[in-house]
Amino acid sequence: MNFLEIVYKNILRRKARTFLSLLGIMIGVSAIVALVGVSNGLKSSALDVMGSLTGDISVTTSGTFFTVEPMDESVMGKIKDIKGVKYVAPVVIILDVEAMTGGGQGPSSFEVYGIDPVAEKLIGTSATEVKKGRALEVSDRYKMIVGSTYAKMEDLKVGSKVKFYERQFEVVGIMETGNFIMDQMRAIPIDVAREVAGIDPDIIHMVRVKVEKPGTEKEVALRINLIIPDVEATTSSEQTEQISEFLDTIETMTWAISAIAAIVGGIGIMNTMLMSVIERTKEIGVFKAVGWSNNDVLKMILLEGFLLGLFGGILGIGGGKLTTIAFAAFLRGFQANITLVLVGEAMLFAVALGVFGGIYPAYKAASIDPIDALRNE
Amino acid sequence: MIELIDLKKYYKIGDIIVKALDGVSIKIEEGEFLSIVGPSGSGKTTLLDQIGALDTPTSGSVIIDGIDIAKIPKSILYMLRREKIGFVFQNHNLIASLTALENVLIPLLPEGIDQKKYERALKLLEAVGLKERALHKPSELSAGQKQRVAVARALINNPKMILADEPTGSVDTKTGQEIVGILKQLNSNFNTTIIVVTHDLEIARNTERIIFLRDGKIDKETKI
Repeated sequence: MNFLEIVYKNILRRKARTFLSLLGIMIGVSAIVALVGVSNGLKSSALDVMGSLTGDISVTTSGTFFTVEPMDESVMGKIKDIKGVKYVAPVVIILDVEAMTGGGQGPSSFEVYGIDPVAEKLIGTSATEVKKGRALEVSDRYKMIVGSTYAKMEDLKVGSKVKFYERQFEVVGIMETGNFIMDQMRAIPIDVAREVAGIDPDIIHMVRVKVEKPGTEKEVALRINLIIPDVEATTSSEQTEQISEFLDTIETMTWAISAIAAIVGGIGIMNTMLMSVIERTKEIGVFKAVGWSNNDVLKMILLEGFLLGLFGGILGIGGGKLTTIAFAAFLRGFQANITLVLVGEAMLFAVALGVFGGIYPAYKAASIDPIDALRNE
Repeated sequence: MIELIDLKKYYKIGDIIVKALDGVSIKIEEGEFLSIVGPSGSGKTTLLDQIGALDTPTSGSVIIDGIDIAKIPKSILYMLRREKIGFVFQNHNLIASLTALENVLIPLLPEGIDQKKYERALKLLEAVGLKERALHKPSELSAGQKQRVAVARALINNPKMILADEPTGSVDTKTGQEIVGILKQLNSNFNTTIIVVTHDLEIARNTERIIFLRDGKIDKETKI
């Protein structure tokens, strides 16, 4: 028999109450593991995607980082004339309203890109990384290339017909980049995109730019911003930074919200243990009468808190993992990223909650006067 | 040897001062079997708490083997209890979730329990006639058996004295006599000092000396 054994027996005495306090910690820790894991997964996918999606530099209407605002196509000529620019490629982004209101499966399945097949090839974006079938060609009309995840989601193959904006499109190619955001992408020829969505022929939403010399992206973006009014040129590394900052903020908020849930669980532990100490007043009096020190009693109750935190943490990490599996089933192709560091942090947090929750009850127990306790009925 | 010198313990309840012990002086020799008898509220249990280092006096001294416990901070009195004193309480006070064997081992838990200590606990249970019940929980034992486990627990530290507060209070007369018999045996076999607090004169007559308390003072003393 040792301390751990007696502590283990103590927490098993009131099984229902122990279970409920474990549940409190478990929900909080599950929330941390699931939300931070999902946030980590999104972050790595989003950061991977930036370079291949935008080329070296992307140019949009100023102040529209996360929205789609129209620009006149003539801006392309102006960008092309700027020193250091090698190629430019126009992009029209149209929204799949049907997917947004109904069967949308993920962030990228709401948008369809209208692209210029020739310019796309010159720039070399992921729209040219076609694993099955072929890329879009100049002569294509109602043809579409789709990412492999989207193809799986909608059960599409090369040659499948897809209804989009009341037209039948034929899938001619399937892209596969290995990134779940990229692999939900859809692209159609730019003139067809404008036609089906009723966009004027001289309107574009984004210009992708390839620079002549790698390493000059920042310099060229600065030139574009200085020379052409009302546009914003951002290098892919700047966009990566912006997205990274944005996702870091989300991650911090996720931690904060989950931590509140877990702290509520910790208060539950404190309540359970305080009740347990009050119920065991006489027993603690006996321990002291037979020669236990205040520290021995303190150690026993803190160990109870530690064990509750430990078990709550293990259950919480399991619960978080299950939640992310469920999330991945909903968002097909998505992989949450539950790192060992995250598991360690969540465990440490759970154990700390258990121990902190146990401090006051342990102090109360250690302060019990054996004479009063032995006469307690 | 235990020596109580002009021992006083006063409590303040509101504006009233209760004199639970009011100038008690006793000498108890090593190996003595002694009982303290008195009506309810006479100060018997308070006296036992003082001798057992569970409490410190308002004034006077409790000297155990030359150590005045009034001068030891309350927070470290546990050392004295752990090394020199064994307690037997009226209601046995066993831990419900532990077996008889584990209950006997409780005083040793803070310093760690090895095979030798297990064997000693089993021997003590055998001595009180409960070896076969070692792995039973208190709920599976009779009142008398529980009290015998409590006696074994009091002995686990090999104490120089055993303080028993109404040890037969919660058992029938026959079992009460059995418990006293065990204490008597311990006293004669191991020269353990035994102090029994009781209100039952029949039980007290089994001891060598009876001290009668009344209103916190020694009323009379009888040697048997």
